[in-house]
Amino acid sequence: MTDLPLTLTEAAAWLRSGRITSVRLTEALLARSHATQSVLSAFITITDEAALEAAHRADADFAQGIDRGPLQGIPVAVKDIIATADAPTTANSHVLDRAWGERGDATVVRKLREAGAVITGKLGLHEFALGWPDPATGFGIPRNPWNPARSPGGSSSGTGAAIAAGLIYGGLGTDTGGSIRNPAAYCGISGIKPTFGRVSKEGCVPLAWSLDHIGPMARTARDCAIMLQVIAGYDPADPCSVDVPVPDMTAALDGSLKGIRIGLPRDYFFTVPQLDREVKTIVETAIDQMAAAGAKVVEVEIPHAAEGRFAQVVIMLAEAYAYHEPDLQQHPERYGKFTRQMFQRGALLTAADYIQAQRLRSVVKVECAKALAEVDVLITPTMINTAPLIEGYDPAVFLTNPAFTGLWNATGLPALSVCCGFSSGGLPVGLQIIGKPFDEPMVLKVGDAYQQITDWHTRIPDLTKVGV
Amino acid sequence: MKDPDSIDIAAMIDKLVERAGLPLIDQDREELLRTAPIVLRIAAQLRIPEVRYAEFAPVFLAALER
Repeated sequence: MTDLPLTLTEAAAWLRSGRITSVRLTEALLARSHATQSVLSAFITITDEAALEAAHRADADFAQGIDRGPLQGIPVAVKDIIATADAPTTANSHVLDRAWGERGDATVVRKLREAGAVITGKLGLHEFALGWPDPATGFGIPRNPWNPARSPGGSSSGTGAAIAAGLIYGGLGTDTGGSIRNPAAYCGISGIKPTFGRVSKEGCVPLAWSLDHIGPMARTARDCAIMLQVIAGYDPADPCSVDVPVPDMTAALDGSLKGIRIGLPRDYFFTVPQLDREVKTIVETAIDQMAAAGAKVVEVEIPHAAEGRFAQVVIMLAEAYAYHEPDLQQHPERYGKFTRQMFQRGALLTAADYIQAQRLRSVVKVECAKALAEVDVLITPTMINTAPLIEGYDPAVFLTNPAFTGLWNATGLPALSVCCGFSSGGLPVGLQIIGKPFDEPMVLKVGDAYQQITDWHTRIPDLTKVGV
Repeated sequence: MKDPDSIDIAAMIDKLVERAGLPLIDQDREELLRTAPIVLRIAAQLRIPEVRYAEFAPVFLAALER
């Protein structure tokens, strides 16, 4: 990647200085995408022709002095559960009616195109954004560029792998219980789940309506901010969309942590026995670095964090089951094994379980508001571990292991994952920054400032080691 | 809700799956048998005293937090 810019921000600068054209940049990344596909399977569809057309348009606009903003001419890609007009939408499944994706661009995709972004394809994911890849479906299984024997996480697996491998500068993921932040952590990149309602979900296949979010993934927090600026905003076509002003997402990125108040919900997030000791140490070291840079760290409490995570699981399984029941009844064999089995578990839940989960959601929402009242952000590890091996993985550990991401889907709060180090085995570790409702600028400011004092986000996997 | 440990899991699964109209292959039934106790325990842990008089959470959470 030495002859190409590393980040979206750098690429935007190169394009404006004339150091590179969008066509040249797009051609290079398309070539890299094809070259890595047999190992990484990051894409389901690569849209070479449409991408190059968009790149030519971007260059023509630059030549005429038209500048649509920092995404103009930048190669990005979209998780294949979000509709695009120029490629099929599969949700990585043989179940989804292909006609569903022929509805045209989702709102977020339309916004990317209007900003001049070059969409190079549709990215791999866990089937319907849940479960685990089943080789029997015939879909490729995205692999982690840091070690292809390992998972890139999910469900936005392809987005994580593609950004880490330098195939795109940014991508769209979706997140119902951690599906942006999990692959961001496992792949050593950045990814933000915005506040519920901040980004339109129109044109995205639902997993669980009251928990689903669309958000950007990129190498840095600043790059995420640039993408979020473009895709955020009220959309009457999405009943969950919220009509609030969209602030300048990059204005506060001044690199300073001075005076920032960080809350540490130590109980549960730092104390569960399943938390890998090395991950814990790496995250605590990152917090110490932030404190040394001027942040004030205080301990806060979220007494029912564990139960809040259970509420997220119950709501997700129940809502997903409701969506998939007809297909589970009529042609269950079309699902991959792990996804089918995950959805079938939703049939075990009662209406009372679902309502109880929604009521518990109210309780933890108040607890989180209290925890955030006296601080600017909360910080936790993103994951309890580093990327697991694909072979032999039991997807049901999703039910038994603690998880630090789902609570923020249940509460709707914005949450960003940034890379904060590497394990002794060479795998990335993620740190999660959670903010107040609609305060993405603060979350991004803290993530960006951390990246100003560290260089983890600049590390890239050596793909020559995996035969690329 | 009944203590999950005192429930006949196989009978419960058969009833619920029949009501839902789900055709289950043996492999899927075995997986449900293996993981149903976990799902039930998760559901049981939602019944904490603090929830006894809690309201249903609105779906449009963030909007109402402003």
